[in-house]
Amino acid sequence: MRAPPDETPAPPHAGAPPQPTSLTDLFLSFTWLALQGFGGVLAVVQRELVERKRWLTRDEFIDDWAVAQIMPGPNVVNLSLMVGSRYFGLKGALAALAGMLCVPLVVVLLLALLYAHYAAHPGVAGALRGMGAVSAGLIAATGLKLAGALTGNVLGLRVCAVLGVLCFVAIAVLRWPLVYVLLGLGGVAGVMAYRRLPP
Amino acid sequence: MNEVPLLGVLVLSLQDWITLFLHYLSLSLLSIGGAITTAPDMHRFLVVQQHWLSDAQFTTSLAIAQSAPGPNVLFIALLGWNVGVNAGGPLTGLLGVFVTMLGILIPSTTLTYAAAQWGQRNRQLRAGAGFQSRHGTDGGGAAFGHQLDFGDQHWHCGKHPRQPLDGQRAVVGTDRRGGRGGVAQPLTFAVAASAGGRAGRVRADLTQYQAVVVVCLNAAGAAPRTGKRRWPPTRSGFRPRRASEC
Repeated sequence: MRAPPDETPAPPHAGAPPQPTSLTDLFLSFTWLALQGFGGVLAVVQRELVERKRWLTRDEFIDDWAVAQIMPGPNVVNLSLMVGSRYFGLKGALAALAGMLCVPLVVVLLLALLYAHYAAHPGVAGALRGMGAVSAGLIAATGLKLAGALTGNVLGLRVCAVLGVLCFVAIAVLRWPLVYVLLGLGGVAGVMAYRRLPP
Repeated sequence: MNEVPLLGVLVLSLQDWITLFLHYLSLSLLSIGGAITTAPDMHRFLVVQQHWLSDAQFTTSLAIAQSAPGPNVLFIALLGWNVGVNAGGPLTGLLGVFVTMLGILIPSTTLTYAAAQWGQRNRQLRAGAGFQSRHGTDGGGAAFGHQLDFGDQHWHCGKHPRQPLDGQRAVVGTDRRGGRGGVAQPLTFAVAASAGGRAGRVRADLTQYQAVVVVCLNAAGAAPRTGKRRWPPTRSGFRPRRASEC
């Protein structure tokens, strides 16, 4: 058990806690780690921030990551905001966010332009179609992974499954807007869960 | 707009741009678990309802963004880009990027920033009160995290920190993951593998490569935890050639 971390916890192997030296440092660090992450940045964030730069201890990283996932919005974007704001407040949050998004955005747009240029080529078109299939599989995988968290739900698996199927039908078959489905089904589920929770 | 229209079939009024912006604003706060969770609604809105994008454009936007470096949320920028390009040219494309990205980011980042500030203030309070352990005392936060823990949901690649955790956190970590990881991971694996299989029939090498990578990463994620870091995988980690070998 490590000593309780306060707001500037000492990393286990260093004397003084390493910190980003400036907003530019934050921006460049996040740009660098965003560019290393193919198909997602989380693993790189963890390696860079915890193991290399030691701006965060592993515990802090896990805590921040839990919060970043609970909050709406893209998870790594949330994480960069939280890490940036820890050191430089709002400016730091914006610098980290900009670092995470700006250069990768340019890269993605260049790729899109490149694709548009070669879209007529049957090989490229086929490759993209195939990658689209993988994307669909990945999205389905997200759902399945999230479903794993339902085993401990107070509503029980059966009710959860019914809610899940209803939601799927509403979105994929009836094509209702997500807002209404989420507020409707989510509201009902929330009230049911609240009633079953022990006081 | 003096750009030569690329398609010239789509005309977006100011009202339409505002509608687009508002749609993404409203999706922002719904995107719990990542922006990708709202992708079906984007499809419904952009492709089915408004006819601003073709089905193929939607799919390729997702595919390109996911295979590029950087956060996957950039698929939204590509959707905006394509809407804009359909409505004019590169300049309206950039407008589309900014409209959609600002829409999806502003509400959620504001909320997250506020939460982060609140958390940091509270951390000081707890530290000041001289508690022994952040996690021991972090009743609200831990329970919150526990109920909504999506720890294994890093869907797109199966990469997530699976290292043994220090101290008390290790216990919490094992407790809340041990039970269901065994079910969720193989399922994910199967889905990714079947996606790979489908993709393989397109006879595109790049596709097969990505499918195999996806499956292997999921396999790495599903493997029992050891002290070794599993990401980045060594070259031998990519050894299997066919999805069924993983």
